[in-house]
Amino acid sequence: MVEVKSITKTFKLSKKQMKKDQVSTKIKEAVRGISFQAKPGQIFGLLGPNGAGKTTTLRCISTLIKPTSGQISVMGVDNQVDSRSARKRIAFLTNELKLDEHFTATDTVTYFGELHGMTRSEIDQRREELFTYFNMTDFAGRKISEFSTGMKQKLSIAVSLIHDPDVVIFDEPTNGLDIITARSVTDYLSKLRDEGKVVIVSTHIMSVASKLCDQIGVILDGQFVANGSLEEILTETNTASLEDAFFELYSRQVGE
Amino acid sequence: MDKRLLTVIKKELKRIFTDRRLVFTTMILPAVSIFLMYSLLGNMISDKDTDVDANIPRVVVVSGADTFRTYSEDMKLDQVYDLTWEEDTSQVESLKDQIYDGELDVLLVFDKDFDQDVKAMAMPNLVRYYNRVEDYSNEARYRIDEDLAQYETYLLGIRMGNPDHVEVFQINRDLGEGSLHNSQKEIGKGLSMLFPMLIAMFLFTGAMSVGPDMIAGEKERGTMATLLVTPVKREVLAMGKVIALVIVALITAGSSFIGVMASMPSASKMFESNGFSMASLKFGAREYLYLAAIMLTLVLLYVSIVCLISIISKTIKEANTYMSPVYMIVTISGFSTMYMDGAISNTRFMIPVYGSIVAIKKLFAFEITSNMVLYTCGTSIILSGVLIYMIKVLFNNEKVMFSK
Repeated sequence: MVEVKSITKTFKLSKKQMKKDQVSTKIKEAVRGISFQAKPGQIFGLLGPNGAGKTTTLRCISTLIKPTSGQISVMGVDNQVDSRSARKRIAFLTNELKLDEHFTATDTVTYFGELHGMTRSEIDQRREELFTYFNMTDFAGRKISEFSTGMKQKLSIAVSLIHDPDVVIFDEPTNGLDIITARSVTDYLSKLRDEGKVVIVSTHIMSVASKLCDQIGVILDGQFVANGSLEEILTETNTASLEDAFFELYSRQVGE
Repeated sequence: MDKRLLTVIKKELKRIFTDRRLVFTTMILPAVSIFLMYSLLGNMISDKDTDVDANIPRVVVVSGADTFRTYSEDMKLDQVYDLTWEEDTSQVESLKDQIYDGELDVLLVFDKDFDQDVKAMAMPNLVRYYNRVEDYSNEARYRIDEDLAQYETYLLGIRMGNPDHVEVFQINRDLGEGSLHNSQKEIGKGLSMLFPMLIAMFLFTGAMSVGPDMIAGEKERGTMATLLVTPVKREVLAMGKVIALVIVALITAGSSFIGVMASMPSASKMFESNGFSMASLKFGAREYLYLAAIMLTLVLLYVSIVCLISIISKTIKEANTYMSPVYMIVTISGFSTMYMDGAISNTRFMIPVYGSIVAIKKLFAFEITSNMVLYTCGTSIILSGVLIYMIKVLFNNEKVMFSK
């Protein structure tokens, strides 16, 4: 389980950033008091517009950045106290990932497997599983430069999951993908859920959140405005769809 | 060695050595370019000198004195110059124009009553025109000046009634040049003008050509985040990249050095006047050890600088932009030592980069001492240590690693 307790994350803004964001304070609170639990066998979705704090929250969980305050536990390990142990159990994938196109798919997956401390036989076995699932076996020895966008995204997933982690964190997993690749990615996330993994995704696409996520945290301006199942959110907002619920929550936030 | 450190180093080296274009541009092209550049330069300078030496200068003598005509016949000057005698002084201006246009090499204009004035000890004038921009004219000027000096001695002999009485003493009779010098040092000094600068620049180019991709490239591609989520310590990732870059920079420098050595038979023609000969240069174990120590520590410093720049940059393009002024500093440091000579205070060896180049210069001139090596290597190591510590700190700095 991943347990996030009241995390906040503040950044110091440069003068250039202050001017760009049109703010007068040097400190920007990217995340404010976010708390949630993501359980094994569930997909937890962070839903919010660009700049709401989704990526910052995911980076805090992944140990890439440290929260200014609050606590995060990954499978019982405090990720600030023992970040290396936490990282062994985490896969983090962002749609911004562009693997070095000079290497082959096998080279890339093997490299990350070795960094995770896996033996050669463990890497070969796991790579075979992942490549078979994603129909990539025929492309294993090819350079990434020869891959289509969809194939690259599948390989990125394989790279992130080579060490078979308990917690899978995907930042905007379907962003920029064609409909077929996006479907294969969401199918794979469902498979991971069925295997009992903790899956946390961020998205600003309502359909992805409503179809895929068991629990949804709606994040606006760095804080949760709703957190629960789709039904709970619809009931709480008295709306019929997640999109309507989101705009209801947004109106309340702006109204405040 | 940490197994994961080895994994990072192997991956970085594989990235470079399996990319034919990168191998060609970073390791083969510099050597080939240097070989071609210096071979061409050496041959061109040599060809030019040969051509100038073989040229028979065109000299016009206006109102030539009888004594000069006689001297010219005795010394057979018409065999070494294309001599023309002109009595019409109104032609002087048009002849000067010919000098200006490079059609004529030297113009000598004697005073009207030159011989009579010499006899009367009235110090007549002899005007010599030439064009210093034209190689043929410039060389002809030196030759004609030597002959005019001989002509003056000839006139003095006439004045004194016996040419043998003109010479009062001789310099180095039966001795030759009389220079008491260390040939090794002479060769080394010739080398020390060019080589320290070249070595310093090659080493930096090697690090600069692949360094930005190793760190800034990972940030730009987004693979840095994936790397940092692995359980590998960030300092291991940083050190892996630094070590791989040191290896690549040394190989690139070695390749460039081979290019320099291969071009030496042709390039040495540039130094022929200094008696330059690669065959006579004999470094001992001490010199090789010192050179290796200076180069290794300089590479370490360069790699640290390149890695630091690469870390603070968000993209490869940005890293290359920051790299340019550093490359300029390296180049200026190299150029500033080209004509340096004499004693140098020890504090200069403590100036990063510059001190190392000066030390290599001293090494080639066989003037290096263990203290100089200690100061320059110590400075490079300490500064590299500080920079590597900063790299380690910055690898843990989320603002630097994830800023957009």
